[in-house]
Amino acid sequence: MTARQARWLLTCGLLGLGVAVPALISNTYILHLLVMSCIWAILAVSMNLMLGVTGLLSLAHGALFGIGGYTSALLVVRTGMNFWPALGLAAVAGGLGGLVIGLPTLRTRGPYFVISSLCFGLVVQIMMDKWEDLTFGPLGITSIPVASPLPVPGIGRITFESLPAQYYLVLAVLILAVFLVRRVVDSRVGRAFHAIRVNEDLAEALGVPAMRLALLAFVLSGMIAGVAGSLYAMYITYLNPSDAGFWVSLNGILFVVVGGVGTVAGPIVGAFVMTILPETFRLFEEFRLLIFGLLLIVVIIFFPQGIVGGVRRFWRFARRSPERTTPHA
Amino acid sequence: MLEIQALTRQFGGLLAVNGLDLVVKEGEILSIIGPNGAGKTTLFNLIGGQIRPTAGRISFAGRDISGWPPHAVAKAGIARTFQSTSLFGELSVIENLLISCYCRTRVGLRGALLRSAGFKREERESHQRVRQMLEFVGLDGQEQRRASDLPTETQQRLAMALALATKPRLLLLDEPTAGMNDEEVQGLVGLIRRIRETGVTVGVIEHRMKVVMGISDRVVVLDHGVKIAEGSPVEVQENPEVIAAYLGTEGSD
Amino acid sequence: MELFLQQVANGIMVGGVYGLVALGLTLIYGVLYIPNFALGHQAMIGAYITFFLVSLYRVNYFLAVAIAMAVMALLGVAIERLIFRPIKDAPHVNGFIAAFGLLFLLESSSLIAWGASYRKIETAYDSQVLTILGAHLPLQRIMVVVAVIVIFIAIQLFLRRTMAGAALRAVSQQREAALLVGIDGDRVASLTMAVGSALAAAAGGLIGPVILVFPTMGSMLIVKAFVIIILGGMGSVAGAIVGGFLLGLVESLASGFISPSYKDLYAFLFLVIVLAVRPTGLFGRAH
Repeated sequence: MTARQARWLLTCGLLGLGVAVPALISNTYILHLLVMSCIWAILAVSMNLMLGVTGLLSLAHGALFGIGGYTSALLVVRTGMNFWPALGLAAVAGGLGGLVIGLPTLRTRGPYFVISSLCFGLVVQIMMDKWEDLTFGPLGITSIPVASPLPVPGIGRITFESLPAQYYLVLAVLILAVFLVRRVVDSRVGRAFHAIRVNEDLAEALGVPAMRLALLAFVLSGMIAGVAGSLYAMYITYLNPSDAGFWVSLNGILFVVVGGVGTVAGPIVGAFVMTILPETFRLFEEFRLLIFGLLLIVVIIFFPQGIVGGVRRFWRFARRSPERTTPHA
Repeated sequence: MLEIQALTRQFGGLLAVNGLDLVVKEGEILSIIGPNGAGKTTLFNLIGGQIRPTAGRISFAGRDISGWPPHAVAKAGIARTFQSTSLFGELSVIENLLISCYCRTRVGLRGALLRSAGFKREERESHQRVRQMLEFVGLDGQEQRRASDLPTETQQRLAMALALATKPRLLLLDEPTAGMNDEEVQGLVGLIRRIRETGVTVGVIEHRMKVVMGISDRVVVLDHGVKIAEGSPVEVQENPEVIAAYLGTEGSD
Repeated sequence: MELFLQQVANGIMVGGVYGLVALGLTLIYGVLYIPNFALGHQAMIGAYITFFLVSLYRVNYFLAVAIAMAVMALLGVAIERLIFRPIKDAPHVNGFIAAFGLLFLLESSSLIAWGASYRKIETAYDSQVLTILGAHLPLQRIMVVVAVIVIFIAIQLFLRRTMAGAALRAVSQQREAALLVGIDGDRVASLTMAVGSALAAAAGGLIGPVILVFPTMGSMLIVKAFVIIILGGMGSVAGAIVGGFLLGLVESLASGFISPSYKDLYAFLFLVIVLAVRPTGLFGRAH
């Protein structure tokens, strides 16, 4: 069996498992963890597009997540809008946020970019906190309703009151996000993103307009982060300014790095592992942070390609296939 | 085809390029030589858009491209290689070449997301072009190799292939034979000739006099940012000012 | 008028501290190419060390700060050896991530060890207040400014008058040439981390009595330090020092005359506005 076939089989198996889960597991706590994992996975997918594909470490994505969440939550709560168009607008808001933040910050690279993105993110968070007339300030938005029922031709309406229904919703969005990102990355545009990460000067000299494409990556990942934020707000039914903050960005980075930066499965694996595993140990908050820190350091020094990278290396070693291993001159 | 007028570039107190006038004629192979620090690479950087001129004008095919960013210069039809070979090291040869197809292809986000017929057609065409390029530079069979694992001479050919894949009208090569033995140099010279035969104009910065003598239609000599001689290879070789500029040390053969 | 002088004095003090962190940051980045996001937290540890020396062992405040600097210098060397050196040839992003990991590590360690409560460093100079031109300036704060200036001078002397300092400058300005000449890059990296960490510890110890000591105090310090570096240009010693004072003044005056509740926002807004207008910072070259 080739690596490709194995991957196909694994993907189908996992998808099947994912779909079957609510039928197999009735424990609401576990389902809740899975829902959260899916939401964080969507955020991680968006951050992987920036970090793993385009090579830019953005700390603004927590803010974009929050912008998406606040947009849909405020629209639904204040104007009574139906969830689905609000979700769409959350994506638009996230994308716009990516554009507005990207335009100035993407003129810089390296640590300058990291810090500029952080600062913009902090400004957004502070605005959420202070602009009480709009955002209810530090109290946050409460009683955010669940997703409105979705009419399906032939079947009737799907309601999202139940936990399994919400699980299917976030799972579906996750699958869609991965599918779309995959299509983008496996294309001319995606190759240009990779080029920017590996050697931006050469890419420019070959006709790749780096600024424009980096901005595109920022907008796309902003849209996805906004969707994640919207789903988060809907599920948790409560949103406050810290949900637009720096820690959200750092968690996202953690998921991507631990899972496997630059890979398709990496952000998903990372999000699931880092959401579920700490729960199994029921650690106090401080220990959780300690482990996160140690994990980041250990991973980046010894396993820079994360879990997925480690699995790949093991797979190659186990099969000892000559393909794709490069001979030393 | 390429016209440079009074081009000047200043770094602090240093005039790397000083009021340079230069013309590159269509279809020729022009060599640019000069002692170290003469401003040759700076000239390429100015043309290629990596740095902006302090003064002067660069026109290409009738258009003023002074100060244009590199991707616009590439789109306009000028491609280049770099003095220290620049590749997408961690990517494979074929991935490298696919990237360089970017500026001559069009399908954007929508096509990629929808996997439209146009997208599929363009992907096929790009893969085809990449295969042709691999054959042309003699890299077929090496598609899957990691670019940074290749030996020097192969890397140089890949760098040239990348530049060529952008379908340039003018190709600028910065010291293409650096680090090569005689046999490899011969191979590269042959490649440069074949490139010219396809209708591409070539500008080369070179130190090896044998190469310069062998392939150039014209030679331009720079020293301290100024053109001190210009003409056929033989004329330039016998020019006393040129000899003086090199201070008696001939270029390495 | 008194308010103005008050805020100016405050701004100089706070700005001096920001400048210490910025200086440490820029030195470390110049040599290791790693933006040490954890430096603010290293300052925090320095503040805690100072606190414990003063409150438990009754050490003189300034001596305590000096000891904290020495301890943090050693810790800095350990960090360089264990964390930064193994990844020195990896893509730059890995360095960023390692620094964040270190940040988490330091913050959680101090939370676990010392709890989240705010600690007050009681010094002998707390109660004395000088009145200059109508402004009430606590002696404590004046001495902080003096200490900061002394440290800046010491660093300049170190960089320009010692062999080690020369090696540091050589590596940060012309890395390849320095290595070719035989300067040991790894040792310079250790030295730089030691110096940078000591500067951070000084910053923590000196600002501790003013803003109190608590585990998350480093976060704002490092962000402000980065704002200074971005505006003043990475690698510029003068930029870090001058920028620090400038930022401190801007923040202090804005807090005093516009609104204190947005104190931290001013730094970020300043950065956001400057970057929108001049993406290479105030003095920096394009990256």
